[in-house]
Amino acid sequence: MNAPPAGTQDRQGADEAAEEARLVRRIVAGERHLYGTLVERYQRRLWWGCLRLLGDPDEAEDAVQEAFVRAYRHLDEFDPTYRFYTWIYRIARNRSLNVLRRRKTWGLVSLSREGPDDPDDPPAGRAAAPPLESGDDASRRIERGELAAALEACRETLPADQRECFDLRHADGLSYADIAAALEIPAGTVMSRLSRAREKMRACLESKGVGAP
Amino acid sequence: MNDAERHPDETALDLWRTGELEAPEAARVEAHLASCESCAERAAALEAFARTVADGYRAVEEGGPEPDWAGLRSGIAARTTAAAAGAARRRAWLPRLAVAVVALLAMGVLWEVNVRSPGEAERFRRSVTGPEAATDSGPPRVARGLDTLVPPPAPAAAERDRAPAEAADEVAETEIRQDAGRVARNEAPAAPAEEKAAHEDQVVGAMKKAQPSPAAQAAARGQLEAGARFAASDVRRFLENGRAALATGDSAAAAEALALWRDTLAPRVDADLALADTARVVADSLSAFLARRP
Repeated sequence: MNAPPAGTQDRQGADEAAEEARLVRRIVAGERHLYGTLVERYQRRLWWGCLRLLGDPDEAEDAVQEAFVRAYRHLDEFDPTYRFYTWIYRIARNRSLNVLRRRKTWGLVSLSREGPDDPDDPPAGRAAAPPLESGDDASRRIERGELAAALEACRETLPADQRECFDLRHADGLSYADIAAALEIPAGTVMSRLSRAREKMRACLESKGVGAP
Repeated sequence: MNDAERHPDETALDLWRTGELEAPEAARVEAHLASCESCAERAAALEAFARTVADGYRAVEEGGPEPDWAGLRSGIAARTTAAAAGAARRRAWLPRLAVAVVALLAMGVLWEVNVRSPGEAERFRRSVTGPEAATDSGPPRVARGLDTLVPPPAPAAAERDRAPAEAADEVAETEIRQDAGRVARNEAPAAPAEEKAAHEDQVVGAMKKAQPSPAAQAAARGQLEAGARFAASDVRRFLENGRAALATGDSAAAAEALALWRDTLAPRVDADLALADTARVVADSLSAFLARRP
């Protein structure tokens, strides 16, 4: 059993949260240039979070930018009880939900680029795989591609509320308490959504030949 | 079945696996797993599932789109700087408003004391000393306000007391003019201690010596504005070069821009210059960009 000793991740999280709270205090006190540190730390994670909600890279970028600007304006209201990511995710999520309301759809789109017609074609905008790829590398790439495709396909079978909880838990590694705070729902609701999502995802992934190693 | 024998559900195992259980509950789960093979297998399977799924998310990201991170950071920096400048401008209005209110109140009080009160005080004095002393035949008036506390000044004394009032008016007007100048030059308002010292200097100056000539004031203002424009134009040039280097991924240009910032601009850039924060963020982005280069 490789699970960490109880409390290890919790302590690590507490240390990171304390460091983050200090950083925010310094920014609020006037060291505004330090805000770039927070942006650098969370931009990628937040962008992927928004992309999972919106399914559009450009809209995700807008949402991230807007969220960071709003967070900056209201930084003195940040509650250090929670992680900064939880807070900014909530801001970005509200913005994303507004976009979705305007679109009148709640459908989440594929996380990766739109699939090419020919599986041998490289995804648009990305460099093609090196031509002299070794057999092991090619095999690994195919395995990764299959894993990604299976995960995406299974995610899309989940209801939106379960899918979002599942993403926050397994892609972002948020605690139950942080998910509850980010989504502004009770912790018990997080537990039940995650439990149902896990059950469906486990069955779906196994049906696609993806199981635990 | 006692407490330790109760099989933990999957949520409890998930919370235990990530260290989110309180210590007593975590100890209970651990004690149970040590003695219950099927639950230990469930916990191991859950851990393996979580690892597989996390790996799946990484695989999705590896094959997914990649935004222009430097452009995203630049956009955030530009907008947060604009927000900060707006907030600073709003904050800067508060002391100016306070100065204006205080000046208006001071003018009102001085008007009461030095312009209006002497007449009323005189009438009051006449009403008390009797009609024989009065030079006008108006009815006695009820004494009020400062009339009851401040004896009516003799004409010479009234003239002497009016000097500080006029000086205060001039000081208030000067402060408002200076604040307007700071806004035009995008400068922060003077710090309270500086304001106090400047205020005292102005009072003394207004009472004892003549103001500098308008030509001298204009020359000094011109020098200040030229200095501010010079610094801002250098920073703007740095921003253009730095952003271009980030956008094109040109390491040499990035290093050159960063060196310009560190060696020349950063030590002398005005901390209150609105562009300074943007420049710092771009400099940070350049540093990060160069650090990532082999």
